[in-house]
Amino acid sequence: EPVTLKLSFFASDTEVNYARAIKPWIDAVNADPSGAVKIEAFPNGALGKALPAQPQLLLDGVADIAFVNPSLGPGRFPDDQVFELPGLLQNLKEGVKLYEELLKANLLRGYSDYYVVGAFMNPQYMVFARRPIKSLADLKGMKVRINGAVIGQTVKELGMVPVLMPPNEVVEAMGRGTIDATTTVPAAIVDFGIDRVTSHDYLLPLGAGPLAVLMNRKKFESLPKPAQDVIAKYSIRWIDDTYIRDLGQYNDELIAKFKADPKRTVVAPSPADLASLQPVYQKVTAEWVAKGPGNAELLSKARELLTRIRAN
Amino acid sequence: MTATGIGIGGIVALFVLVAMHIPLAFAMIVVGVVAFALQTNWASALTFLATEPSQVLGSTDLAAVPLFLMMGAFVNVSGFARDLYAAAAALLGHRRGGLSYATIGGSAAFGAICGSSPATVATFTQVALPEMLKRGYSPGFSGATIAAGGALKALIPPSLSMILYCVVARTYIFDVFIAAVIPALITITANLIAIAVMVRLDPAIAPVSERVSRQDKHAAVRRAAPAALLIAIIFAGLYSGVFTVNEAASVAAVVSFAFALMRRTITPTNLVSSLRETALIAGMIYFVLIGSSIFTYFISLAKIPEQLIALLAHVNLPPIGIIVLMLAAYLVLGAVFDELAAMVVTLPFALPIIVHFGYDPVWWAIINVIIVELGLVIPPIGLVILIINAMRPDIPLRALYRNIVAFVAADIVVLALLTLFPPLALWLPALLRG
Amino acid sequence: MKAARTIVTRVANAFAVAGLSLLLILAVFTLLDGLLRAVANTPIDLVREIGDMIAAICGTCCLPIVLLHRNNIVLRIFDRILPRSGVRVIDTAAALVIEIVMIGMAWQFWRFGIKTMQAGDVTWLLNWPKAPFWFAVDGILWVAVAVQTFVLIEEITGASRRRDPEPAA
Ligand code: NA
Ligand code: NA
Repeated sequence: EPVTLKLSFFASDTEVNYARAIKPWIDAVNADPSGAVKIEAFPNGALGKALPAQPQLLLDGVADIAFVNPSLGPGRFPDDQVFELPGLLQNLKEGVKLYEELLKANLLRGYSDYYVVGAFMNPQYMVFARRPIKSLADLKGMKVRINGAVIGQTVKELGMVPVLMPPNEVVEAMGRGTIDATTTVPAAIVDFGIDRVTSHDYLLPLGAGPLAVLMNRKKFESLPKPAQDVIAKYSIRWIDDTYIRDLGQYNDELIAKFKADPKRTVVAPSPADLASLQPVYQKVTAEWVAKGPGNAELLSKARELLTRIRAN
Repeated sequence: MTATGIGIGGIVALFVLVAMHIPLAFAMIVVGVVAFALQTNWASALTFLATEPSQVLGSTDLAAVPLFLMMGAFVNVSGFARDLYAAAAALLGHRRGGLSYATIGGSAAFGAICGSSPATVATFTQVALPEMLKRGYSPGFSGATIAAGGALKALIPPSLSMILYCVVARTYIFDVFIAAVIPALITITANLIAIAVMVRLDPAIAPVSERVSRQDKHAAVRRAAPAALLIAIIFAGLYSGVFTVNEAASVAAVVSFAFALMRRTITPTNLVSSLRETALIAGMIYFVLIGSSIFTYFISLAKIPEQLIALLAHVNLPPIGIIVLMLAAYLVLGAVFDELAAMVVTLPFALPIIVHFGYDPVWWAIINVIIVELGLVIPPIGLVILIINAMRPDIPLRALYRNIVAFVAADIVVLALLTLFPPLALWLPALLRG
Repeated sequence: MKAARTIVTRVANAFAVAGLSLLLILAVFTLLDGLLRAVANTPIDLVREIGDMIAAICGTCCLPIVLLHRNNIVLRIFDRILPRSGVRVIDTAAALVIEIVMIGMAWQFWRFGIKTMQAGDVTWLLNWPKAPFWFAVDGILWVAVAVQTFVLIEEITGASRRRDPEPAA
């Protein structure tokens, strides 16, 4: 008799994180020859539509496993802002590895109540606008939707006007000219239909954001050994590699598609613009370091780990 | 227990609780919590009592409901309905049935600055009914015209029915507001045609009155200017893109309050009563939405939409047959609850079916709103008819219901048109989306 | 009983008026935020930071008066079927169910506030703790419980007169 676990996904089952990483994980666990675990999936927000509420939903026992965006709970997962620092990460793969290593070393607060099934990292946030952007100078004065404090600070330094807004309001706000641009990842552009209202993509790297599949730790520890083993077997390595492979590829495909689309312009910052970004990135990073007592140590540890990850 | 067992048990329980005089909202809460508890555990299920209210009460989209209701109350205090009606009557009053045309036109215009149908009807019963009776219009015909004009309001943004639909269905409110424009114009036209036919068939119900002098016409139009200005501001705010919908609701409330202040029509006493009336309706809607969001857990756990879709696929009806079946179900349910409550309760079942069969949720929103509109005037719970009857007991219910038939027919024609030609609703939002 | 009704009515009215006045003030700031963003490119971050929680407080303020006026959507099937005493029994039972649900809500909201506090939940930019806002909502919910207790006593003692529901559209 397998143990049944409820998995909550806040959005549609066609959303890319679900379709390309979580669903394959569910299928793999359910198909495991041990037959020890059966994951019952509740996508489409059937167990809760609010993404910020997912971590609490696990603690309340409404779901056993859930997809979580730690950036949305800046108090609950206070150290995760480190990934948002502009210029720290270069690609999705090293972001995932860094997240894994920091979790393994127990350097990120807020995870003690959870068993980490998957530790993903968004690709770099970039700027998607309804008005043309050819260079950094064009950003000045643009009203841009932001999704985090650090990224807000960065765009402010670049002369943009940050407007806090959940992703589901972006299309409406952009379509009606309430905002001119949004910072986000290519996948979200498609998932939330933002491609309808933007046509200018500026590949400005603005930091990344962690995403996680978490399980209630008490629930995990209460499971019989064979069930724990199945979960562990597909956790972190299996699901993260699936994510890196499929989401990395998907992200590259999307950018290629945007470039090929005659209705879109895709611009990468010039070397000169990239150089002039450095002082801005350093300033934002220094401000973040000054904000919390443990931030300096966390950042230096993260840089050390990154050096090692890049060397491999 | 099997999913089907829980599904049937939960729906039976809902009906039993509602029959026991337990408010719909609380019956939904009880069924949602108990069904989830039976499947998992009580501690988890009880957390819904906080998490769902926190989502509903903390939704800035939903805050548009009390804000638009407040606008209606302030506008009412300012006497804008009287001004709008007087201008329309001065322009149209000399035609046969002219005051009826004026009532439909005035209601539609007033609807743009008032959030709710009952408020529109109550206002026009005070403003337009005495005028019509004074000029010898038949009481039943006059009352029915006012009811039709008030029900029409559901289709004119900002409309509470639309906001509720969008919050429950997670659809962009602005898309639905835009989608309503053409159907609203068609419905207004259909209602005017209904009046034309009625006065042609029985001229005695609407005697012709004297032409208003050019001077009086100008005076009436001038008096309506502030109301027209307010409508222009609200529309500009809603459609210009400067504001999001919840910001537009704030603009509506603040600007209408400012107008009432400028006209010196607002007093501490009527401010308090305006806010109290707003709270009574807004709070009721909050309760229903809290109930609906907790009830949704029962529906998803019991996998009811999946089972219904499987059942419908088994029956092998064409999609249009399923739509007609659902329309019929709504009208039947609307006889038990009112149609707005029926919409909120059934949307979690109905929407997955609609989407499964390839229809657009924005189009279904417009269909739903027209059904709500119909439900406002047809027995046994024709809310706006009951309001008119309560305010003017001298006009019998029977006379009101007899005269509403032509307007109901007009609505059904519009409903059929929209069912057969969805682009009537979807063309404009698609055009604006580019 | 009459004196008690006066007091309860005043309390419910006061919360409704205060809550919606607060909402009107929030609306003024929302309007300013939108205008400043459009005209001067300087939005007021505070509005988006705490607007939802202020809205929650305003919305909760509308609940006690709805309970007092029994303004929820009710289907009164038994009014024409049962004798008055029978209807009273049913209405009392219904009022008791509402009371239990409201107590459950207020109790769970208290726990929700505590959990929010323990999780250290803060707003995005200003890092304001969210728990105090939710405790405020919980306080108003307990007022709603008190109002419903009064309604329940009215039903038990038969002091209530029947009121027709008046739903909106
Ligand atoms: Na309206
Ligand atoms: Na009805």
